[in-house]
Amino acid sequence: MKGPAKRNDEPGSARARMTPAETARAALAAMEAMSEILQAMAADLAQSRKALAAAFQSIAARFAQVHSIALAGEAGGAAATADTLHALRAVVDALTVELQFEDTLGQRLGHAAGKIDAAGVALSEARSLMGGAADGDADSTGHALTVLARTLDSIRNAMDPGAPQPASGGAIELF
Amino acid sequence: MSKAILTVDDSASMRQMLAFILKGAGYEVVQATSPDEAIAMALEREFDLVLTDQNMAGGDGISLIGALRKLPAYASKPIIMLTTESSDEMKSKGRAAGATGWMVKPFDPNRLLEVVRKFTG
Amino acid sequence: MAVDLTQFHAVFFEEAAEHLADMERRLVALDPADPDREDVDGIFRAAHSIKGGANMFGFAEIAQVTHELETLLDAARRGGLQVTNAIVDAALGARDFLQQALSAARAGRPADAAQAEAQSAALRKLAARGAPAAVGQTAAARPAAAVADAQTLELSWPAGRERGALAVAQLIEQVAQLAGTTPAAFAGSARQLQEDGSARLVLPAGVDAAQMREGLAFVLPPECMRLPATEAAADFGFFEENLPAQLAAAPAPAPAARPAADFGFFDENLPERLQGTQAQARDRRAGDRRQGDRRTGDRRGGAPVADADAVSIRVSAQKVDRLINLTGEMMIGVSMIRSGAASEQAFSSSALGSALASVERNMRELQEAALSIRMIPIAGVFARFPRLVRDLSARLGKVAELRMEGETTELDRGLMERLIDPLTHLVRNSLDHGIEPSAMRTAAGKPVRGTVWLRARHEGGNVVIEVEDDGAGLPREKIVRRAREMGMQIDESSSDAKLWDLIFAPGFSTAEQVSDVSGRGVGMDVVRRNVREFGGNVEVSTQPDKGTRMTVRLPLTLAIMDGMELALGDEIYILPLNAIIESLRPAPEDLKSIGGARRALQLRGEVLPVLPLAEVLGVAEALPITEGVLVVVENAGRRAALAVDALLGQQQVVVKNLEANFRRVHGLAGATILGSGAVGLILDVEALVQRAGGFGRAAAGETQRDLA
Repeated sequence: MKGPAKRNDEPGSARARMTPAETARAALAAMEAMSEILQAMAADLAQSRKALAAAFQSIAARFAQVHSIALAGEAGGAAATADTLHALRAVVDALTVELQFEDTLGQRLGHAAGKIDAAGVALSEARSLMGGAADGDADSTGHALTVLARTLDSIRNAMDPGAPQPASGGAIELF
Repeated sequence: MSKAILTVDDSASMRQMLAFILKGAGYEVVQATSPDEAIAMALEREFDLVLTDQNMAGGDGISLIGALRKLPAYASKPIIMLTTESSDEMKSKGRAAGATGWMVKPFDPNRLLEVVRKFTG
Repeated sequence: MAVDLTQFHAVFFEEAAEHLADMERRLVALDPADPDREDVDGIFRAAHSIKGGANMFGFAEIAQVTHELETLLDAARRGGLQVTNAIVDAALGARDFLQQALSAARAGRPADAAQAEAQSAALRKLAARGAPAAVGQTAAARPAAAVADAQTLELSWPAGRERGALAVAQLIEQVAQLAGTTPAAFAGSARQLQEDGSARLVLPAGVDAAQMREGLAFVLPPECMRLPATEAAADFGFFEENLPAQLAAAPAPAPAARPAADFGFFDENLPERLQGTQAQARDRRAGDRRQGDRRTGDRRGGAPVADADAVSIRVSAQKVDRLINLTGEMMIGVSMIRSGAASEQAFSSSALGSALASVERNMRELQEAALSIRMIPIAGVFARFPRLVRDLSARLGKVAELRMEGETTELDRGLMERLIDPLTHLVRNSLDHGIEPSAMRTAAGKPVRGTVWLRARHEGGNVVIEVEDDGAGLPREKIVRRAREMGMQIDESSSDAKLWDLIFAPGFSTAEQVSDVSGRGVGMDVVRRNVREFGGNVEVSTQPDKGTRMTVRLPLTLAIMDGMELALGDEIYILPLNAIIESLRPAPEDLKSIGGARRALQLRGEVLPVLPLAEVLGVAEALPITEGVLVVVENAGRRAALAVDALLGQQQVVVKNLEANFRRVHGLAGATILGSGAVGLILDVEALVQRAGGFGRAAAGETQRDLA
C-alpha cells in the first residue's frame, strides 16, 4: 500500500474549456472503463456464487457417501473393515479439501469488494468535482468526467489477475 | 513426547480442521486466532512448528513471520505459510520475511502431514 | 482422490429391493378404514431410505418419485391426510415404477422420465388434498418457508433460434413485465441464458410460476419452459431443511439430484426461533429410528461448532446474489450513459450529471452490499451461552436462566471471534458474583430463579451488546475497601460512576475466594482492553439488590463515512465530518501561548487547546499555525482546535480497518482509498482531543452539552 496521499496527486487545476464533443468522449471513456471493471466484478461474483453452491452440494454428497460406506461396511462384516476404513478416510480427505471453500470464496469476494471500493471512490470524487453545479456548469462536468475516466482507467489497469487458480491449490513450495 | 504445533488463523473452522488433522496424526496442537496471540504464545513456549494464514483480521502472516524470526527461539524454527495467496510477489515477500515454506489452500491433508513430518522429523 | 462410487451401487440396489418388497407387503396389508400406524411409518421410512441413496448416486427419476411418495406418506402418518384407496393405489403404482427404474439402473439403462413425471404428478395431486393441517406442520418444519416457497421457472432457449443479446433482452423484458418488476431483477438469468442457453428464473414473491409460463407461451414453445419437480431435499437421515430458493437457483446438474442439506454442524448457530423448528425436525428423525420414542434436544453429528464461520453459507449465498443483482443494475445504468455518449447526442451536462448521480447511487448500494458480506448474525457467538449458563449455574449452585435478544443483529465477522472472551467473562461474572444463591434471593423477596440477559442491537453506527442480571448489583463497600487496599485514592463520597470505573483497574477483583470459574487476572481490565482494541468501550450500570448491566459498544468497523479532506504538508488526512464544529483562520491575537510550546485559541469566550497536528503526526513541511487553518472538533463534550494547512473538501469515504493492514496507530482511526489510489488516513478524533488536553471549563453561560 502506498503511503499517505500527497496533494500533488490531486487532479490538476488546468481547465481549458471543453466542447460538448470532448465532454461526450470523456463520458464514453469513463463508462467504458467502468463497464470493464463491472464485468470483472461480475465474473468474480459469479465465480463466488458457483463456488458456494458447488461447495454446498459436494459437502452434502460427501456426507452421503460416508453414510453409504458405513452401511456397506456394516453389511460386509469383519473382513470389510479395513476397506471400509480406507474408503472412509478417502472421503474425509476429499471433504477436508472441499470444506476449505470458505477461504477461496473470501478471497474472491474480497477482490470484488476491492473493485467496488475503488470504483466507488472514483465516482464520488467525480461528483464532488462537478460540485453543486446545478445549472450544468459544462466545464466542471467535462473536467470531472476526464478525471473519472483517468482514474477508472488506472483502476482497471491495476486490477489483480482475479480469482485464485484452483489448480494452484495444494501447491507447496519450500524455500 | 509428541511434537507441538502452533496454528494461526482467524477462521475457527480452519483451525478446527487443522487441529483435527494434526492431532489425528499424533501432534499436539495449540491454536492462535491472530498474530498478537501467536506471539504471546510463542513467547511462553517453544513450538516445533508454526503454521500460519496470511490474511487475518488481526494482521497478516508475513508480518508475523518477521516478528517471530526476531525471537531467538524461533530464529530457525520451521514456519509454514498456509494461505489462498499464490502470487509470486507474495511468495517472495514471505520468503524474504523468513518463511520456511508456502502452501496454497485448499490443501490436501496428506500432503500437509508430509510437510509437517518432514520438518518435525 | 474421489472414491469410486459404483462399488456401492450394489449395496444400494440390494437394500432398495428389500425396501420395495417391504413397501409392497405393507401397502397390500393397509386397510384404509383402519390404517396401521406402523405400516404407514414403515412405508414412509422405506421411501425415505431409497430416496437418500438415489440422490447420492444420481438416479434422478427414482429420487423424484420417492420424494413425492415420502411427502404423501408423511402427511398421512402425521394424521393430516386421510388414507384412502386412491392413495394406496397410487403408492403401489409408484412402487411398481420404482422397481422398474431400479432394474433399469442395475442394467445401466436410463429410467423413464416421462413415467416418473406422471407418477410424481399423481402423488402430488393426492398430497395436495391433504388438509391445511399437514401443510401447516410441514411448513413449520421448514423455517426458511418464505424463501423456500419462492417460485422458480426453468427456461431453455429454443433450438435453432438465434441467441443474441438483443433477443435475450427482449425475452427478459417480457418476463419482467409479467412479473411486475424490472429487467434488472433477472440480470443473472439473462446472463445465464446468453452463456448456457438455459436459466432458472427465481420469481419475486407472489408471482406464480404456472401463470408466468402461460404468459410466456406466445414467446417460448412449451417444451422450453419447465416447472421444476419439487427440490428433492436429499435428507439422508442426517439432514433437515430445504435450501433457500436462491441457492437452488444456482446452475447445477439435474434439479432432482440436488441435495439440500444442513448437517448437524450448523444447527447450533440458528437463532432461537429456528431452533424450535429444528427440534421438531430432529424429533422426526429420532422418531424414524426409534418409533414412538421422541427425544427433544437430541444432538447428533459431532460437537457443536458454535463459531462465526458456521452460518456463513446460507447467509453468504443470499448476499452474493444481492451483489450480483446490483451489479447487473449498475451495468444497465452505465451502458445507458455509454450509448448516449457514443451517439454523441447533445448530452447536456445536467443530464450527464444526473445520470452519473444515479450510477453513483447504485454504487453506494453496491458498497453497502459488499460490506454486509462481512457481517454475520451475532447468533454465532450467542449460541454457546445457553449451554454455558446451564453448566455454570449448576457448578456454582445457582439457579439462573439465560434470555437472549437480537441474535440476528449483524456485525463484522472479524469482531465475532474477539467478542467471545470478553462476553464469556461478563456472563460468568453475572452468574458468579451477580446472581445471589437461592436462599438469599428468596429472603430478598426475589424470584428464586435469577435471570441473565444477553442482548444485541444496532444503535447509530454501533453494535450494542448488553449483559444484564437481576442479581445483587455491584458491592459498593467491597469496592471501596479493595481500592483502598490497592492504594487508590478514593473517598466515600465519590460518585458512583467513578467507583464503578475502578473495577476495570488491573488486578482488581473483589472476590474473596478465587472461584475457579471467573478466575482472577482474566479480569475486567482485560475485557475493557479487548473491547477498546477494536474501537469500542464498556459501560457499567448497577443498582444494589436490583442488578447490574454491562454495555459493550462497538463501532461497525466497516462503514461509509462523510469526511473532510485536509492537507498537512504534502499529505492528505481525513476528519469525520460529524466531529467538526467549525473551521477558521486564526487571527494572531486570538492565539495565546500557555506554558512551553502549547497554544490556546480564544473563541467567543471559550478557550480551546490547540493541537499542532503536523507535530503529532510527524509531518515535516507543514505551515506554521498562524498561516494555516484551525479546525474545531468535538468529542464527548470536549473540544479542541486542530491546526492544519488547508481544508480540501468533503468526501464520502469507505473506512477500512487499519489493523488489518498496519498495526494499530494511536491517533488514526482507519484508512481509506482515495480516488487516486493512494491511502488516506482517517484521524481518530477522540484520541486527538484527549491528546490536546483540556483546561478551563467552557465559558460561563455554556450549559452542559447533551451527547446525542
